[in-house]
Amino acid sequence: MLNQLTQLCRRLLFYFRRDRFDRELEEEMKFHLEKKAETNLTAGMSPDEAHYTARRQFGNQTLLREKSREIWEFRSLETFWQDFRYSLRMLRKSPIFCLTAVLTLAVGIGANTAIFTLLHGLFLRDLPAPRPAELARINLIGPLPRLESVEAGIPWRMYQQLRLQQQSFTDLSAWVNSRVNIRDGEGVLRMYPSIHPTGNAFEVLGVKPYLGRLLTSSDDVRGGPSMGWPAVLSHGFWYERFGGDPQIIGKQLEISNTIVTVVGVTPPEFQGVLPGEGTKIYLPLQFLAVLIGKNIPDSPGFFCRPIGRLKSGISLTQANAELSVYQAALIREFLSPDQIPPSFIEKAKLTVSSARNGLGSFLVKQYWRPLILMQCLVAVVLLLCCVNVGGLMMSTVYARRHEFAVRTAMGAGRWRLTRQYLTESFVIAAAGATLGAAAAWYGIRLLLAFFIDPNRQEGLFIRPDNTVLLITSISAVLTTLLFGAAPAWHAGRSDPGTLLKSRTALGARKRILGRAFVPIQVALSVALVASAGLLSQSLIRIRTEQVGFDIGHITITCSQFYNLPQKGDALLDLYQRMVDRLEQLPGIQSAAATWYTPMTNSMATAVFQATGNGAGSREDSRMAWNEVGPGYFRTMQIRILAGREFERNERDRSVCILNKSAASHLFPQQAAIGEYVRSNDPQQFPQEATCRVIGLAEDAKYASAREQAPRTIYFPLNGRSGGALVFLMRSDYEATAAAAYRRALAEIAPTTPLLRFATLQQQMDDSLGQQRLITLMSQLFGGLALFLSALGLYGLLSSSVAQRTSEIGVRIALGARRGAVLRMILYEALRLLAAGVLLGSIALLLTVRLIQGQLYGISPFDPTILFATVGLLGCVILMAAFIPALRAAAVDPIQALRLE
Amino acid sequence: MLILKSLARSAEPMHGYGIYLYLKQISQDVIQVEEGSLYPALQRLALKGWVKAEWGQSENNRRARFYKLTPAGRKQLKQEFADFERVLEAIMRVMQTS
Repeated sequence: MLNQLTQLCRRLLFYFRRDRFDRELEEEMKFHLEKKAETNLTAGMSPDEAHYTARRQFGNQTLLREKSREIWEFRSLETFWQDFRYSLRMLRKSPIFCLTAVLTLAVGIGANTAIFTLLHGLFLRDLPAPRPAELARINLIGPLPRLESVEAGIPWRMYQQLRLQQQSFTDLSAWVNSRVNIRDGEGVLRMYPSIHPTGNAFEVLGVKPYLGRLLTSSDDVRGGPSMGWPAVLSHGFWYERFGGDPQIIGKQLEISNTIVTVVGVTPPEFQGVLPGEGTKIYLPLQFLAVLIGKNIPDSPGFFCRPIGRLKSGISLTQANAELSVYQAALIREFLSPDQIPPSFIEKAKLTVSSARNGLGSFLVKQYWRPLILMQCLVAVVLLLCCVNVGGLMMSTVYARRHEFAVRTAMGAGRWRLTRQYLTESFVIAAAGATLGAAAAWYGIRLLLAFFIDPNRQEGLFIRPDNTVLLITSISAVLTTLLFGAAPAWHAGRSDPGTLLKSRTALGARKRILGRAFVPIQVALSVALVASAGLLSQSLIRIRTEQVGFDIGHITITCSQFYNLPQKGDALLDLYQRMVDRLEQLPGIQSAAATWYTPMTNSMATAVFQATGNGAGSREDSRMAWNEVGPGYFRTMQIRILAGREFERNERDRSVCILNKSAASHLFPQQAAIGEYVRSNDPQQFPQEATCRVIGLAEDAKYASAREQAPRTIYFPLNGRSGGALVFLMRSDYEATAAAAYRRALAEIAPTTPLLRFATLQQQMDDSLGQQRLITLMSQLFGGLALFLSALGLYGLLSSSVAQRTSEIGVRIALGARRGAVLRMILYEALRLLAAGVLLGSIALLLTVRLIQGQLYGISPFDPTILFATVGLLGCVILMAAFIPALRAAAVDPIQALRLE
Repeated sequence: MLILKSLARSAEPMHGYGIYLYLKQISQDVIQVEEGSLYPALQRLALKGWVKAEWGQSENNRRARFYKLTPAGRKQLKQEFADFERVLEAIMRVMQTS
């Protein structure tokens, strides 16, 4: 140790007397040589011979001097620094090459980083807790009608029993998610997602507070602790809503009409136990009683989601084995057939699974496959980027082969040359990665906007963190190896002998490999560009589709009246007062309340039948239904063809309005008005109703613009419609509607929160999120593929022209016209293009199958799109080929032959 | 080790050429290396602190760099010699038994 320290000191000292070192070493060697020469001279050699022999026997002086110096230097660091500066100089000399390479890699790395960040945030990120592998969640899994295994947790009372009984965990905790109302910075009530853990939950996780303290067992008592209810804010919420106020601890906050005290802030890396949900605030589990107004935790239907910490040495399998022993008894005791379908209870099983990345949220299941698919796609794109940049670099190696040959001849080591080239690659990759990471960091917000589910209020919440940096660094190194290895190897292998002697022989072998890439890239471009065209056209057609109502001028917002004391008729009166007030306010042309809004990708359906004579009795009578308030049709601008709209006093299902398709289906032979319709679907529509048709409305689309307008039956709003109805407001501007709604809400229901405003057009765009994302991606990748194939071709032709310079020189000298040379190179490009298009049509056939489901109103083999694709590709390819072709045509035969 | 040994043999500091001549003479031309590779080796020893270099006058009054064994170098030589002897002994024993 001490020895190493003194060595280090000596090394450092060396840097101060470097020049002296060199001088002294040289003098020493000169001394040796002279001595040797003297000896040789006395042995009878001629003076010249004596010196020469001495030098020969001594070896390569420069190399030896370098070796001696290296012993003292921090070798690798210095070489790297040297190579780094040299690389910068070389790259500055060819800015276009540099820029192209960096941008290409930036796109590739940026796309990978962005997608991986999403993937990581949703599925792979460990909870920031000590030993996350020990965390496990417990769920009841069983067959549910129409829902595929939703992880709903277990009943609260079962959890309590299980916590006492189990042996595998050091402790169990439970988490429940809900929503609370908090005033925002402007004093407007807003709804935020909240999490309600048991008191020991943070202890089980082992998360430490960022400020103050987290929730403890003494907080989670019925009726609240004597100090009042405590609340813990998430770091993000504390920052956004309270500006990161360091004095926040002890401040009081009104949450859903209850005063709570802020006791702490969670650390920034802890983003809740539900990935992607973006929890804002943590309140004790018993606080739910305040939110809902009764002691729900004790009611048998109340579910919670347990997270436990396994005892050390206990595996998930062992924990599952333990549960399987007494799960039957637990299920029998705590699942009542009154609330849960017996078919579920029969097959239900308690399962323990890992909770190292939290409780799987609803989002996780939905996005797993598309994200994996996208990750694969961007990985392929990155690979293509690497191949192309590698190809470009290869042509620079070829152009610089004389430099390398001279350097090898002068004693540069092979590994040194290889290394220098790798450093150059790394500089390019690092620049690309930096740019890519920056793009990903800001781009991820844009990407998240495509993941808004129109049925939910918030979109995904993923915050890029250090993993982004990690991933980009890894990809930088990986890409360096991928695209830099081959050129670097070639650079190191350059043999001065053959190179200095002849220049034409080399490279002929390599061309075959390079040639194969271009058609493949062209093929990919054909498939991607054509898909992008088809998808964009589909999207345009969907968005401009006639939906049957005024989509652009209707603003919607969801009311939260279910916690108000008014129920039944009183609640409907409240809604009516709101509608009336809204219609009085300036700018609102018309307003109404409704149960379901269109363009959410979902709709309610049930089976209805006509009663009485002449009714069509067809098999399939499933139709969509909705409950709408007075003024709905007027607001939506759906024409009433016959009869009338609902009136204020119609508040039950004794009357209904049919749309045109429903009427002609149910009553094919007669006018529907005045006839009766009966529901016949005890499962989906348990409250059987027979109703008189009082109106006939024009057809309108319901779940999405892609589908035909379904047969629809409308009922009036009634006592069962609930307190979460949606207000529709028709106005010229969304802002007018929002302002009016805020005013009306403040006057009529000031204790309820304000939610997001959206126009129906926005809602439709949100519902098309995945489609828009796919379209955008295909456009992006199509453009990229096009660019890459142009780049690939350019690289290939450039190096081929460079290799054939002398051949072209001979041709021109022998009388070939420049036009012919130009054509020769362009033909080469066209041959590659033709091969690519041929391959591409096969690729397109395969792709079309994948995207067929997304197409709308356009044939997958739409001739316009296909011709446009090939035309575009041809233009780009020819443009890329033109530069090397012109260069070839401009070859000066004398110059070319003199070099030979 | 050979360089250390040659320095240990001589009471006085030696210069590079002297070491070369000594090695050549002792090994009777068995060891044939590039003469110049002696110098990087010397630098390695200097870095480790086993030899110390000083400038002085050569036999015919020329300036030359002389190398001297340090106490640490002497210790190292003893250590290496002991190791070498052990290995040699082992080899000899194997050879004799067969």
